[in-house]
Amino acid sequence: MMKTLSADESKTLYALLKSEQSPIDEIAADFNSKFPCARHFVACSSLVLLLQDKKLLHSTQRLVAFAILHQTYASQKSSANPFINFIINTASDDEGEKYERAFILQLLGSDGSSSGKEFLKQSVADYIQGFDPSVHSFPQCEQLQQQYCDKIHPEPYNCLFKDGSVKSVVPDPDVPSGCDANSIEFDLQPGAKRILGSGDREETVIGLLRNLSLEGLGPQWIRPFPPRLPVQEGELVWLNPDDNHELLWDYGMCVDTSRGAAVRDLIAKALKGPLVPPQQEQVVVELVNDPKLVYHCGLTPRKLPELVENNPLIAVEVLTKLIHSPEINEYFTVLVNMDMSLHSMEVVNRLTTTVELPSEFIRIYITNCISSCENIKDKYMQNRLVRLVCVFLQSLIRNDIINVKDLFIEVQAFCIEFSRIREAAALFRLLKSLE
Amino acid sequence: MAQQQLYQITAKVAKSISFPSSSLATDASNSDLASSVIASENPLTRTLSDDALEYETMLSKLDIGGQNAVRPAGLSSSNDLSRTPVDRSFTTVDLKLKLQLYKVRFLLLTRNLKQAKREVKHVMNIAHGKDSCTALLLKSQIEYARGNHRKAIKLLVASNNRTDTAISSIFNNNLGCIYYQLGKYHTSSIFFSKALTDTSSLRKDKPLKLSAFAQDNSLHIIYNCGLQYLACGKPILAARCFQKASLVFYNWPLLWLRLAECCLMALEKGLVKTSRPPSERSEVRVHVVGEGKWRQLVTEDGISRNGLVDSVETDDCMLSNDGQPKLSMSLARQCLYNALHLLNCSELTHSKPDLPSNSSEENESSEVASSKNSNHKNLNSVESKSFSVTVGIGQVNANGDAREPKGGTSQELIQNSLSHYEGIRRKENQLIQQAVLANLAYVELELENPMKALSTARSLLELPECSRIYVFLGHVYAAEALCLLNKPKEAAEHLSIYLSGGNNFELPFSQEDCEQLRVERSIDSEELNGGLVTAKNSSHDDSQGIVFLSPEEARAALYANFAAVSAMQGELEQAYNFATLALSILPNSPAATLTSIYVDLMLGKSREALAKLKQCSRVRFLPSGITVNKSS
Repeated sequence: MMKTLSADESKTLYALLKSEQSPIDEIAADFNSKFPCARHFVACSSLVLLLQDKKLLHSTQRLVAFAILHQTYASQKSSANPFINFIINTASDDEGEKYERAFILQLLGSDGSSSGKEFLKQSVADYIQGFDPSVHSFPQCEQLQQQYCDKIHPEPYNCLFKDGSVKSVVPDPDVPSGCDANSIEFDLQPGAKRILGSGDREETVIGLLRNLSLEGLGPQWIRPFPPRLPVQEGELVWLNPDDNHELLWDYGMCVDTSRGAAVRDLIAKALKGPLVPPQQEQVVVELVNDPKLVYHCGLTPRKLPELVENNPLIAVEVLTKLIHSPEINEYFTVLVNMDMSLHSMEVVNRLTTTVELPSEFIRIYITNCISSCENIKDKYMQNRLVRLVCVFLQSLIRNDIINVKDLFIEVQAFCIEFSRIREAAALFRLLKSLE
Repeated sequence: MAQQQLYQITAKVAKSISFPSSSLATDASNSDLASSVIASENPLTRTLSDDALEYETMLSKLDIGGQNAVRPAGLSSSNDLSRTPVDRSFTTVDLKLKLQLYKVRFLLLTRNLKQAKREVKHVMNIAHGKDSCTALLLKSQIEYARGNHRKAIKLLVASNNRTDTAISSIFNNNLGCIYYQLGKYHTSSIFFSKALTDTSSLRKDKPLKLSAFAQDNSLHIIYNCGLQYLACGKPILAARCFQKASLVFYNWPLLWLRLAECCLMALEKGLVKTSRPPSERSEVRVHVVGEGKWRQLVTEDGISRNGLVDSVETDDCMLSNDGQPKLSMSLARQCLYNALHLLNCSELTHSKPDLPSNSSEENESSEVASSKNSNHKNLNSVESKSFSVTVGIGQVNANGDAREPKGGTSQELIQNSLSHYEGIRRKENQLIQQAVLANLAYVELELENPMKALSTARSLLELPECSRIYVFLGHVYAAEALCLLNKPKEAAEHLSIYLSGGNNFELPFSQEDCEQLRVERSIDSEELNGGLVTAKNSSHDDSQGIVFLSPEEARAALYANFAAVSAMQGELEQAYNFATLALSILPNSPAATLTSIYVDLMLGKSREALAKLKQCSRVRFLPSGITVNKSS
């Protein structure tokens, strides 16, 4: 909201001040109709500021101003009038004009009674004309305060910056040096020619109404702007090319895991002991029906040896299915390194006939077999194992799975070492025949 | 943000190394596919320093793996082709190169420049000319970080192959960064916008590629643009950039501080809607009413028009209809709260990993700090300590001192780099916190919330190792807030801290304090190699300057404000003296002039008041705005 009057409002207000011939109540009504309620306070504040300077307004104008100040708030209790202190102070100011003080007192006393109404019917010009100082008495300030400010106003909100504010209007008479600024000769008379230093009171009054603000001038505070933080090290983003990470599809995602449940159970059993033939049959059939099932059957390289020992046939079946998986090498590695046994040999033997095994793998396996035979302490077991190995090797050689030349010396030494065993001698003869 | 990148990188390093380990068949613990998956996933959930250790162990594994071969050679022959191609195409050299590149980036992010420079040379040895672009970019970044801007430009230009749009956007952005640091904001803006054009054309490429989105840097570039607009004094454009970049940097305190700075700059430039036009902040307005004998001067009160329309607006409406940020003090406050919150969070998370780190290192770093302090004797005041440390680090670098994190094994290197970096981060966050609190106190004053302004200013003053500039601001803001709360005595106490001997204020901070705020970043001006140095040094002079009161002006502000406080307390004579002193330093300050005039009027010296009004060059005399038509 604007805290000062607009240009039009100033002119309107000044026009009201000049209407010295109109009855007071009419002026008050005029004021009410021309200024909306929300502007009353601003207008009255400006009037107070003008009244504080005793020279600015003519005597009739001052009376009109006081009338407006009082009548605007006359509908409420006088103590609710925001300017009551100023009004009372003026009324009890001994240096003030008698007619003005008497006028204010009568304003204050004008209630709904007929005499009060009578008083408001006259114009301010008439009032001054008919003024008789002898009939008036002037009570003291305290008495008036008691009468019209029935209680002390609660302490309003204070603001140090504004409480101490001083009226911000400074007279700055622009008259030729050496002249008395108060001299009447500088008042611009209607129709007269402007002289240097002459000024128009009316223009000043309207101008002041326009620019005055009740708040005046207070002490000022320097509030420095905080400095902008300098750009921090690394704050500007330096870019580097990033690695291009493509998305990889997880094929195991959302796979129906319930499907292979039966096979998973059977495999888990197969790790612990031999399965009965119908069970073996079921595993084989299901693995054939669903080529992906082998990846979800719950077998890992670490578990392979148990499967081999308990169910070599199933192990062969699974490994054959896994031959294209990335993990097959891990399975082979485990198989090569597990303890020698009939079952493991059987698995390898069967694998050699069904899939193409890496020749390196077979070589390592044979070397393993041979060293196992050599290291075993139990004579009976050793004989058994040697015979097994010999049969196995013969089978490999006959089926052209291995190239004899790769292993010739190693196998020959093996045969000579165990020549007491019949199968070794037979193997030796087979080697010789191939030479 | 560096934190983020750092995190990503260490995670990446750990991840990429876990490839070979998962296929190590001989490694019993990892032979299970499931366990190897877990191993590669784990780093994501670990903390930063854990990652670093992980990286270290992986690195040592890799070295073994290089010689011992990834698997027994015999087993891989026939099945090779059937295996998935992903990790096969990755040779050991590639992996080594990648790791080395990440290592350099890691060192760069931890600001261990010396070590980074050493390591980047290894990159060249490993690469044998392969992927030189990335390596050259890193080299350029190192020189950029060291302040050797010309060399950085040379390397950058050498790295650029213009055929690739993605690389071109990176090139342009980085060039923009360099020109920004050289203080050539307009040149930098050209490069930033070129970089943005590149990224947008990448997004338009058909067919759509995943990398076009995954590696879209446009928001990072936009953040740079925001900084550049801010430096050019264009707060609205800058705010738009920061708002967009907030998608990426939302958890970065600096982003919110910058956005708040946009609001403050807009306020300073009069772009924020307040009841007081900007001109009134910089001048005294006097209405001339009437003429001749009746001429009167009506002085406008600065504060009376101070009531902000802004504060009346509903606070939740920070965006205008078109979705652009509406710069206001409320928005500034919101942003600063965000920044404070983030700073507090990072403080909490950062203090934790510090505690368990081995104590010998802690001792060492504090020792480093003290030795640095002694390096820098001209900064002996307590408040400037924080800066002397950071500046000191640069000095140590310059001397090639061994105290810089170095370490023989890479494990030590990483650990040292991290702890060194955390020290830097702490300092940085402290500075950011000071700036945030100072801005917040200012904003609360603008929003006429003296209570909050006071508490904010107090927490600013309680910060350890606060810059003297921010201490000054803290006192001035607190004093004003106290005045607004009708506590002039306490307000005067805040100001009289600077009072030395009766009626004299000392300088609240020195020119050096200003320099330190500004030099902060150019710490690594080192190794005087050739003629580059002179050019480089000169470039730093003014570009990074902060716009703030000079120490002398700050002292004048203290005089003027003390005069105001005295006047409020009715000590008009004292107020008169201080106002006179303030005016003697700042004859054209509107606020000082008005206070002085106020005191004159209170003392009844209206002639002196008139004389001052007429002397001050920042007074604007306005016509009353009324024409009285006499004939009507």
